[in-house]
Amino acid sequence: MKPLYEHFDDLLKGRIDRRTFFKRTAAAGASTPVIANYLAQPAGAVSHFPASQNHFSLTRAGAQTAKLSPPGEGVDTSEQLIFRGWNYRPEVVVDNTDKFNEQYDENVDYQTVTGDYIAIMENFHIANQPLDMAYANPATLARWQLPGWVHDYEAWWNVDDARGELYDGVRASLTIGDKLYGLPYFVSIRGSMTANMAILDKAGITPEQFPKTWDELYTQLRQLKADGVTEEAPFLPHWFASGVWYGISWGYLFECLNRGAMLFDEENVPVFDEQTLAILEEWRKLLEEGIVPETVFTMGEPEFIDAFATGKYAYSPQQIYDLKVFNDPAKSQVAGQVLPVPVDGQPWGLIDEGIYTVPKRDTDTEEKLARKYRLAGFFGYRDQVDGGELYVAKRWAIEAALNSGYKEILQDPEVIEAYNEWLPNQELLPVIEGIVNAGQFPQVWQTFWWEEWNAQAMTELPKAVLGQTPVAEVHAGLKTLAEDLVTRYQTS
Amino acid sequence: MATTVELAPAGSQPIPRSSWSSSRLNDTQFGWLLTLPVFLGLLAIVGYPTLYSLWLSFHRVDLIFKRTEYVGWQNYQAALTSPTFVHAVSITVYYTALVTIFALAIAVGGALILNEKFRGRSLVLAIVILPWAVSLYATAIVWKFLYSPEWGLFNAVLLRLGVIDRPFNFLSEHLAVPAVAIAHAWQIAPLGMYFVLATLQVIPEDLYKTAKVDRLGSWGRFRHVVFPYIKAPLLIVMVLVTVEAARVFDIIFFMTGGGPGDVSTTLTWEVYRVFYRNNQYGQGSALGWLLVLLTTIITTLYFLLLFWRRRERPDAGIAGTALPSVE
Repeated sequence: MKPLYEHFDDLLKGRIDRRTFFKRTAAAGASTPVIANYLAQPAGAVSHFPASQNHFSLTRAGAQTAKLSPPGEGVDTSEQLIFRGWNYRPEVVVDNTDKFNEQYDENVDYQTVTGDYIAIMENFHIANQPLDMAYANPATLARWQLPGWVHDYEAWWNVDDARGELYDGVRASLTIGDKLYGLPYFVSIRGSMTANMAILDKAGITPEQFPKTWDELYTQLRQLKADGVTEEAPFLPHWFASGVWYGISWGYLFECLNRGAMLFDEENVPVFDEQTLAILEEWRKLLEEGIVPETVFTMGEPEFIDAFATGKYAYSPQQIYDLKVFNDPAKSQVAGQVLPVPVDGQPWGLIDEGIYTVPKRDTDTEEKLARKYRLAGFFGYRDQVDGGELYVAKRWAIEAALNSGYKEILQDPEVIEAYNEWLPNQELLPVIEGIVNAGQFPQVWQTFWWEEWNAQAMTELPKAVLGQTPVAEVHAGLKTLAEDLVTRYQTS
Repeated sequence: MATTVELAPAGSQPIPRSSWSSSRLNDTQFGWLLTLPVFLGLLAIVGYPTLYSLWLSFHRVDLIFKRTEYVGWQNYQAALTSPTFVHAVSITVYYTALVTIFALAIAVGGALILNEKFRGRSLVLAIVILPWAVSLYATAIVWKFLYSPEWGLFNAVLLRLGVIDRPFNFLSEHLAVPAVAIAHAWQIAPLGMYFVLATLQVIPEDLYKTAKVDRLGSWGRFRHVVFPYIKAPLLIVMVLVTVEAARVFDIIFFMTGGGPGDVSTTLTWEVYRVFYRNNQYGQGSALGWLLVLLTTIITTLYFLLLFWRRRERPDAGIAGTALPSVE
């Protein structure tokens, strides 16, 4: 007998009519609520989607996922597990992989993917290339889940424990429908406002006078420029547009989110209200007034970080974990003088995550899936052999200030001690916690089309700010683009 | 008297030949047989992708959800009428012209210097080839650092010398394309330098002496003695550099990302953006074929120029080096 999801596929592709579908699913044992759930969906909602795109799934509803057991003693590990990630501290990842291989007598091949990670990995999936664990961001997680390129973690033996230990917001970002699709590699706030006291001290600005909103920030920056505190632009905005990561489009998204301007509504329908236009107009003025440097548009993320570490800028929205870099005398010219601007009402930035995903391949057997889960569990949860601690997450927190998705990490005495070693003062840890707790998660990341909108916004937004295209034209074009993508994928 | 040598014992049966043997093939057939594996390999790694991209260019394809629709010339029409295409073509032509001019200038200048005798010439000869051995990726990284207003060498020197009083943005809207072109020319010029140098070394010494007798100055000697010799190798270098520059990708990717805004968006970058980032495989392929057309036109023009010159001068030597006169 065919599994339920195949009947559902047949219906979607028009191979069978509804009546036949109900007959067959009833024969296959689908419960009444399952059918009722299907009927409750709007008529057109399923007509063009592949089965995997729907939140509702007969497979999910009709069959509770049974948990797999961990791979047994002497499991055949001759077939390599392929693990790919972007290029961040590969020496640490190699070390962790070696530990895993040694501990479980495993055979994991880890390599970094250089270049345009998101585009390259998408081609990996389209071509069904061997892949057993890969990094993802929240937006890529949703994009990979919808075509069925990744396994959920529901069959993993530790899923309930891990789910219970995550921050609520992190759990929500890793959950699609009602299933957990990722384990946390790191959790950060991208765009958390960072202040350089080496410049602000000259202007007599104390931490108590830090701006609380974007408007206050821009007012203070204009004052700094007018007072001649900095000869150069005093603000390094999150507008980098070169290289492989997204700067300006994320910068636009988080400033809109932080200010309450609406690009997309709760249903991810493009809105692009007046305030979102006003933000772009303000950006154009900031460039014209020399508040921000034009060089930012040809920076990639590494240069963006290094530029702030030169100490030339008063403020910059950065990744919260880069506070460690800015306060490291080996990497920064203003070490010990860089502080996080606390959240006092309005949040700064948005939640950014690295995620461990388990790709789905035609060749996956239960045994292989169990091996994949064991690998992902080691990196994204606990080391089950060596003390059962959050080994990898804790190591990242201590060595690179990468916060984890697990609450336990920031309460760990060793982690607290490590943070206090580089933080300019010990009162800043609660400030960091406050910024992380206020982090906003853009719902639009859970659409299939976000990455495509994001890629094109990355090219279009600089044109508006540089005056190459009128601001209103770019703004309207980005809205039209979003509407076209919604129509193309029918997933608003 | 002729003698017959019996090669096989009398009465023995001829050795049965296998049903297929290479010895049954004539030389041409055997030659084809030897090239067959390479031909099949090329068909798989060049022929198939090329034909597939041609097929893609006439379809709207969604590789993710496996949907395909034949759209005829729509992708080409969309590409040709898009303002971004026109912009990308103009940037590509501008960039290609700059790289070619800079690379040829460096190649000829460098070759003329290296053709002189001076102490340490052998060492310099070895060092100048190094940029060509460096990948475009490494070139991009190095030059991005050199140009940087934050920590770049050029800014540091100019500031120290008092030429500028604040850091200068070499990758600004107006300078990004020339700045990247200089970096690219630096990387590719040594190849041309060696081409030209090889030709310079076969110019007979007598010609220089004759030119001096005729009271020709440096420019006159270059124009009437050197240039006729190096013209042909320069044309070959021009073709190579032009094609390299027209299909540039790495250096743009790492130095400017097509920006600031879209000021350094070349056609190859646009193909990449449309194909990989926007997932518009059909339109991306159409753009790719338009790029092929563009480079084919340019290189054909160069070759026509080269062969037209050679027909005009039937005494052209093996490298197109006509015996020059110093009249």
